Amino acid sequence: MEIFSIIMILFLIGSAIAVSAIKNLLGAIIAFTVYSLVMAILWQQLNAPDLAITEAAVGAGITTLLFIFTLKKN
Amino acid sequence: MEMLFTKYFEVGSMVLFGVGFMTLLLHNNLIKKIIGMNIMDTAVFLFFIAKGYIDGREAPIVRGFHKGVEAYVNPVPAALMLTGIVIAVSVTAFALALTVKIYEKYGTIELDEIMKMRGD
Amino acid sequence: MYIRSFPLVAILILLVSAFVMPMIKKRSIVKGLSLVSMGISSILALITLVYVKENGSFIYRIGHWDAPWGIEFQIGIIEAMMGFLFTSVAALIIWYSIYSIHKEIKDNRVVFYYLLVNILIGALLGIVFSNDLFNSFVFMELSTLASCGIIVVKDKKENIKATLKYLVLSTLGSGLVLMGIAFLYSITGHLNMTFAHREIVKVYADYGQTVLITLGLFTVGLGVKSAMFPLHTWLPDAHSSAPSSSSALLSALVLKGFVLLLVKILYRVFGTEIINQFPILNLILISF
Repeated sequence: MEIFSIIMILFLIGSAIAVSAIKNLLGAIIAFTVYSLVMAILWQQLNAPDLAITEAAVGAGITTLLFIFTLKKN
Repeated sequence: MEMLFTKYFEVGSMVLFGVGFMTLLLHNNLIKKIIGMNIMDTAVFLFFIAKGYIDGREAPIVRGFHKGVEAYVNPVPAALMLTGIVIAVSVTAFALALTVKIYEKYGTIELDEIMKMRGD
Repeated sequence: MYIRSFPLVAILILLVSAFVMPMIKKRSIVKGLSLVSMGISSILALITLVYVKENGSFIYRIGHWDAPWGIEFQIGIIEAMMGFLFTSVAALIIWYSIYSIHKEIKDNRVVFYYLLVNILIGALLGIVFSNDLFNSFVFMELSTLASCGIIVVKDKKENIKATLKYLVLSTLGSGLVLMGIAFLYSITGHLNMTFAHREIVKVYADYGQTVLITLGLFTVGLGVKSAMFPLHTWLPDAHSSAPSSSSALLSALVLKGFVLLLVKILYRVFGTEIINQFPILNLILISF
């Protein structure tokens, strides 16, 4: 359990750095989606399931959609 | 020093806050700035939730019968952060709408090029 | 006894009338509704001020929940005064803007302009009256979005640029404030200002570093939002490019709301005893 959480946090930091390192904008948005999903898993680990559901729906779903629509307009 | 390993959620959220802060301040591209803002906000949420977590207790959902206050983790941070997520999404949507407008008017979303264009 | 619920009624009148506005077709009715609702809430705030002056400060429980669980409004003399000031100045500005707004913004945006003004003043009244840290944070974000809205409503090039600058910097500020609330919650366990003060007086000797970090986070976060001296870079662009009536609203009211919140956090949550041990007032007031 503890090891799993630590690996997930390291993965989270890796994807957050990947967002600022990746040059391609679509790639950065996909890295952010991965970040949101891993964050939802961590919140499930911390016994906040309602928050995990909201983050998976809003952070990974709606925010990504908004970003991709913006990218299509540009 | 060993707090770094026992309180790993807090340490991780601080690192994420720093990464988000740098992405928000140092990047030129507006979309990356907005992603950095989101990362910063979710790092604060993670810190808040990690503060409400108590080891060895279950999620604050009553299944069957109520086991007493000692059996559940603190539900207040989860309720607060639910509001925080909604605020973060609305700010993101507003900032992205502004980004679309900026692209219509200036033709670019790189901030240093926008700052170079003076006047009307 | 009805007078004690007047602060809440003043906020509710503004917010409810704001969301009625998009349903109304005629623009003159919208302008009148905005002016009338602001006038009513300024009269309510005046009655509250007179009541507080005679009977002293009081606490209003929202939904009749007791303090650590529910949200409270604490209305003392300074809150009542600021509430009356905000609503009356906003009523005067709206009265002016009725005759001048069509010169500066497009016709189809007038309705949304008054919607945003009402939401802005309601959120500022919430910041002034609320005695709960997270509730103040929510009202703070609401007022930030509304004030960004009344800058960008003019729809010119430099306008959008200034709004984006303001939005990025104030999001930074609210992230720092939220971090400060998280630190404060983790050492006191309360979000209500009175209860947090009671706890922090007991424990601050053990958590010297944490209290220092919390003070710094609150000061920098609210300093960005209220444009204190080294953190003011967004202000000249945003205020000069906005329409003239929104510029009046922004520089007269919005910044003062955040300053009042900082004063409340410094003196009501931490208290003079703790602040005097840290150099925070030297930094804010530049008095070495």
